[in-house]
Amino acid sequence: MALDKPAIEKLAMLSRLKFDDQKIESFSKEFNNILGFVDSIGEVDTTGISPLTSVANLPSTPEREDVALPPSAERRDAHQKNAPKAEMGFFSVPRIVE
Amino acid sequence: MSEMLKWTATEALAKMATGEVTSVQLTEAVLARAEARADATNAYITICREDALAAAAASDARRAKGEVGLLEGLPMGLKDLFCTKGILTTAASHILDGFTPAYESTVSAKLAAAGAVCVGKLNLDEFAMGGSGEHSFYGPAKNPWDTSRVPGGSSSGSAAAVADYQCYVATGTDTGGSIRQPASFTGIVGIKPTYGRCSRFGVVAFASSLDQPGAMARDVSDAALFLQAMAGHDVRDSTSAPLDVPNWVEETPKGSLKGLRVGLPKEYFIEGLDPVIAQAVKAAADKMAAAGAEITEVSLPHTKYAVAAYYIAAPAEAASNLARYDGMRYGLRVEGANLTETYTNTRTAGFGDEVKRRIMVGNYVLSSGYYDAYYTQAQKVRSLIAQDFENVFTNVDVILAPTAPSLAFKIGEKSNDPVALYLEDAFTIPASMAGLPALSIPCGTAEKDGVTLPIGMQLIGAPWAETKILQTAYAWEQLRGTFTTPFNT
Repeated sequence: MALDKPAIEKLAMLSRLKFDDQKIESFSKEFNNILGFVDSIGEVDTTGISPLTSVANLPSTPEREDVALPPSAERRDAHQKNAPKAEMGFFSVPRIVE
Repeated sequence: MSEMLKWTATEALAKMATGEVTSVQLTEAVLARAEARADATNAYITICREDALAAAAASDARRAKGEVGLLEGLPMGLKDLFCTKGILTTAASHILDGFTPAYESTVSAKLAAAGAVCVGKLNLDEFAMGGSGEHSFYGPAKNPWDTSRVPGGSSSGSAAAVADYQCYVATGTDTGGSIRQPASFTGIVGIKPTYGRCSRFGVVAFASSLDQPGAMARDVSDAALFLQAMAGHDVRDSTSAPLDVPNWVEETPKGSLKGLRVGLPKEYFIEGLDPVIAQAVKAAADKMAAAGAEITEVSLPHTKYAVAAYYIAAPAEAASNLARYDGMRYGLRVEGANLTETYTNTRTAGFGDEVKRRIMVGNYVLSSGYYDAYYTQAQKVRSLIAQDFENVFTNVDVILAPTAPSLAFKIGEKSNDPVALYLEDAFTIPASMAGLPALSIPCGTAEKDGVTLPIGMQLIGAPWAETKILQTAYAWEQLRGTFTTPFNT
């Protein structure tokens, strides 16, 4: 099943991506080629087969206890050093409420 | 090239133990090689000269005090997908511009604890998505056998650097073949252990149910040694297996081909496989048979659907994992008029084309109305693929197959056709989908367009049977003899 341009644009919007008019043509073609290729899995008879969501041979992996670390300005700063914008110990983000 | 660069990791460690050479001397030689070959191979994204020399000096000081770890003083490279505290970590993506993690990945921390010296962060396909190394924001790594060709991917820089003597060993990660295929393209050994053997903590996520760190080295003993230091349970990765790690360093040389049951899957010897590769793998099987192995043909009937199932499952997981890149907490931010536009601008500028394709495919197959037809169906096919292997492993000890359908191809040759590139993974994806350990090892060379190129063969094992495939690979290596490389001068 091939997606038309508006459907691709909607999917891009939901993915928080944008393709300009020049790019959308080639991208749609590649996307539909990929979709056409993966469509072949529809041929497989999977009646009565359970989906494998994680590799079956993994032994049980008990959860560790969650332990909160005491607050640390140093650790906070180490993380916020990577932020494009951080002020007064906070991540700075664009205004959300107008 | 300095003679000491040609040593294996095992030899380099022995020479440090006798005091013939220091870690600082080895590290200096490796750094000089990496710097001299940077333009030709583009293997490293970041070379950590100062940190490496400091770590080497600290290692020499530890050794003087009698504190000697498994990899004490050994210069190695890390795929730039492993977070390194205070050192730029890019995943070869523009969107992680300037990202210097505040924490260390478990694997790289274990390697450091074993005494290894990180000389730098190695190039890769962006977020480990690709089979050629061409999808890197930092430009493609090049194959040292012929620098107009790709080294394979996604662990492109790791393969190029190990093959080109720019480090003794390197980490890779394998989601659908990203350790084995580049190992095959560059004439080295690459092992992806069983899913859950190595911790994924601090490894930038691509497809979490498939991603697995592993070792890349110039021979089997070095791969066993390096993997030994990487593996083990980690409470910080809930999918890491609480199992003891066998002593691969001791066990690897103990294997024998006599009576070993080796299966050749007929679905791997198909049209599309370069005949020269088919011939080399079959010749290796004959040689192993002459040494006492029992070779039988086996069938993995769902093989032909593995690539399609993978290119649904992996993008679905990738789309979810990559939703975190929004320009707020790290990396690139491209401002827009409002929050949504800032997200969109950041992601549009920050991700490369292949990553965008996979995010889009992933979101599509997860969308309501298509979820069952694609995603659930792919997971069911994944079950069938795993069952195929389970059936075969009741009759054989290891599976022998080609690693890749083609030899290293030219840079640009397949970059305009995503599906053609996906088919490069046809023989590595099935083991990944089943979470099985698998290894690629050179089995010959071929002449193509006037250059010599390596051929890799793949050994696939049952769950947790790394020992068996390492032993088989070691025994094959003895049978094959030294694998010479044309640029080793």
